[in-house]
Amino acid sequence: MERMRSLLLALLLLLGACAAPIAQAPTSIPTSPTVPPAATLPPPTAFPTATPAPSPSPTLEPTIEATLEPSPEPTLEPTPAPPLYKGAPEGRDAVGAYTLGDPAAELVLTDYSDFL
Amino acid sequence: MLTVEPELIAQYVATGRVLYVFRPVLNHSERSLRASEAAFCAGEQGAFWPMHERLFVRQDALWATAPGDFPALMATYAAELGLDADAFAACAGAGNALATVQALDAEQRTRGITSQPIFEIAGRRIVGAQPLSVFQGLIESGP
Repeated sequence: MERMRSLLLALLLLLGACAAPIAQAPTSIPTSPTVPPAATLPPPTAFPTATPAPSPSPTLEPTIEATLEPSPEPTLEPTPAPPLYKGAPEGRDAVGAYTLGDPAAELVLTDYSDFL
Repeated sequence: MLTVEPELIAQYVATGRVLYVFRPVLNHSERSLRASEAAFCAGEQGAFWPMHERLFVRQDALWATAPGDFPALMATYAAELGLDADAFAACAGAGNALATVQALDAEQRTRGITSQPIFEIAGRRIVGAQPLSVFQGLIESGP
């Protein structure tokens, strides 16, 4: 009986000797060098104190999709270029007389003539 | 005007410096009316200036044609220019071109424009046919 107790004690000591390094291992892990010291950290940002926006009323429903319709196809046709006469565009002035040249020209030459 | 007009167009109108405006003066009764109407009806088809040139070139024929025969002569010129004969006739029949011609003539007569040719440019009025140099001088002196 005394011998059994001695064996158990020896076994417990052996188990304790094996378990001791495993239990101490975590304490030997170095701290991360990338963590800055507490003194260099920026001041903590305060959380906004504004009251959060109320959640939308459950009765409001988005109407954009309901009211938007597909854009119609462009219906504008290109303005036809005025006919040219000897390299100048033909047109008409506000009173219906025929003109030749650039309406924005710096000078206007009006010719009052009869064909006879 | 036909003598200097091509040069004026080439030098100043086609280059964008001058806007050329033609206003009919109706000093020869029915002939003037029908010739101007024909030019404006040609204009409805984008051919005012070609008809304008043709009428001046054929001025002798205009004088030689009886007023009653003008519609046929104008239709001939329109055909020579490749215009739509039906549209040209419809324009003459509608009377709108004629009304415009008469309105222009009436308005300018209130400003003393009763003879031809008369030119206005840069606030100056020139009476009678002038050599190209006169126009050049006025244009080059600016607005």
